[in-house]
Amino acid sequence: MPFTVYMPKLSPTMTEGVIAKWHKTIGDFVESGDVLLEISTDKATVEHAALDEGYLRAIIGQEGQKIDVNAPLAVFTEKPDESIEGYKAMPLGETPKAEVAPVAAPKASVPVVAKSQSKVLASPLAKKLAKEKGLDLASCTGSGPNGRIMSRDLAKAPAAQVAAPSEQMIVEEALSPMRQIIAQRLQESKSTIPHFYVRQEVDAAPIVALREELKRLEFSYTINDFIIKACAIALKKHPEINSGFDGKSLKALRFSRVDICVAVTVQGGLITPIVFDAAKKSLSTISQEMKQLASRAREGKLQPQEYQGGSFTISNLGMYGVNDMTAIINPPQGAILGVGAAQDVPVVKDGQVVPGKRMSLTISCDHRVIDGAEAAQFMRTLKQLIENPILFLSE
Amino acid sequence: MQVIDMREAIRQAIDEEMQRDKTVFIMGEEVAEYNGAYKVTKGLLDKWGPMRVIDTPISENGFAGIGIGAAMTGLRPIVEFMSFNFSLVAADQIISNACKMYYMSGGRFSVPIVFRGPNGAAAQVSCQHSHCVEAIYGNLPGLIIMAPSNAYNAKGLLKTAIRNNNPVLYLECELIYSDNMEIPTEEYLIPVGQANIVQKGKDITIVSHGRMVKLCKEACEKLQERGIEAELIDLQTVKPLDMETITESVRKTHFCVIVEEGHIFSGIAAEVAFQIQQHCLNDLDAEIARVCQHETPMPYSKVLEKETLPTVERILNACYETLALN
Repeated sequence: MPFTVYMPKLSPTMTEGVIAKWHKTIGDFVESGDVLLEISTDKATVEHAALDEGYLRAIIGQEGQKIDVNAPLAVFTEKPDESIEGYKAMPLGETPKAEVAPVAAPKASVPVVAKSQSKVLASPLAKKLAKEKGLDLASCTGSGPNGRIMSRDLAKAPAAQVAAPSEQMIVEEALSPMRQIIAQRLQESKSTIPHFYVRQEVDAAPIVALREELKRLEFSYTINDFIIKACAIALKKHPEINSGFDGKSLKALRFSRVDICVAVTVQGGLITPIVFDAAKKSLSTISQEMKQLASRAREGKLQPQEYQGGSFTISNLGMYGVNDMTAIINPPQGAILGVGAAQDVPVVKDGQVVPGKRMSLTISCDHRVIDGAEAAQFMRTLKQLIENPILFLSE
Repeated sequence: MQVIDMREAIRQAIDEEMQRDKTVFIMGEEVAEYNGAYKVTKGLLDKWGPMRVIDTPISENGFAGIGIGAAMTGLRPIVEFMSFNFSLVAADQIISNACKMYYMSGGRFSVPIVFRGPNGAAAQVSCQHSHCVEAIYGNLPGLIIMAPSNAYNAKGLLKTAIRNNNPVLYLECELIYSDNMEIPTEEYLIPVGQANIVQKGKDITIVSHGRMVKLCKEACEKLQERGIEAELIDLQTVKPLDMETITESVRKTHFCVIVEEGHIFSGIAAEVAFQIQQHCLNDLDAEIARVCQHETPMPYSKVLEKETLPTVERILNACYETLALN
């Protein structure tokens, strides 16, 4: 009997997954527990193992393809030469219907490829006019047979783009699950949260010097490790910043623990793994955890509990040499710190212009839960810690 | 101006050209004593005498050949077929002599002859008397094919045909002989290869010829009720085609329906449609539609006869489908 393997539901919120990589090819015998494929969900890439043994006979979901949870991924048979002709791979919980594509028996191990994305159907005139006027046919709805776009449909198209001097080609790209989440969450954040910003320039010379000193002693830390440590101490001292806001219930959220999210750039987006209970962790523990989290994040191997939650976020673009950065709040948290590079600048000291090292810190706050004075006080504490890293020892 | 029917318009054209040119004569079955099977040649025998209005035996291949010989040797014959279906008996004369003589004689023999008579369906005359011949003859280089649709173009086209130095097939239709129309009393000619825009419109082009133009006009009125302005083109000359008028219209309307009384396969509509896509593919918003006679010999049954031929309803449906309005 042929049987179907379906897109698993890997997290409570998962509705679809992208096939990252097939580990087996058609004809392979797959044992129970063998890694069958890798699936990308909204934030992580997860290996999925076969539950039942069998021969992989048809691959329905190709690499890069987005598949709904419980939709068929592949067809297996118990015996290698069993026919799958006429076998219909149905989404879980559905009874066979006429429109479901039957799985063809692979001839010479040709995988069953899902229908490629349909090309835009347009009349010759509509195509000509669209080219002349620089219109994107894909954005039009056709009123002709089979939805074919006719010239009259172009007239209804909203806001026609004026043809640029050189032809502008726009390729519409489907968003990865991660980008969809980023787009949705940050749009919601920036459009619903009343952000305000407080910027503080700090003297970075002490932490840069401390880092050099530790390096000489063969302890490797990043500037960011110091920032995390400083924030952890400052947040403990200013619980009003270690807060959030629930936009639905309109209630302030007071976090008992300092859980610091750190934005990490990964292929196709970013993710914010968490240094839990950072206020209770030493600089070296923070540093080690951070190294591990960042590398696992880049491999797409973070588990949901490693990036879901947090009470405060740090986004550091200093490694790119930028002056400063203003970040968007990561809800339901109430604040995020944007960090610029430690830069060599002339500073005035005792009436004299001397070489200095300065770093710009910008906190974005949700005014519904945090006030300007509170943010300013927090920034003053943060400045004091960064400029006097010896205080790290006092905690 | 005068209000006359198409029959009279054809008669006037023959009469005027006989008056104008002594080499013009008419020949065919029942054209003289009986005044024509459809009374087109009424009174001509009395006026011009038996030397120029000649009754023939029932022998189309014979009198078509006589006509071609007369044309080659200086006369301008008008040969009437009682039905163009009978021209098939004379097909060898028409195809192998009339349309090829000028070429085969190296330009020494022109064949200034007009073959005329009713073409296509009448009322229940069955398949051997209902065929439309323009698609058959249209395939032959050397023939001019005209298809009048009303009294005005019937007269103007026939006079041009008689004066032309090439063989002309002039296709009439029994069902519209009695249709009246106001036309000028003064002389006028309609050039070979000139289509007529019967009605101007911007939404869809309808191309037709002969009796079908009448149905198309009705269809246009119905379309107008729905706010669709159709441009109706009457080919007048089927060959050579006036593609300039047609393409100009299609470039404006972007949609086209071609209506032909004859059969659909390799018909005149197919040729017109091919040339439209050749010249203005990128101006089309939809496939070109054809409304033609269904692929069957013409049934005798009145009901089936009607259903076999294009109808106003079929023309309208083709327009709606082409415009994707339903």
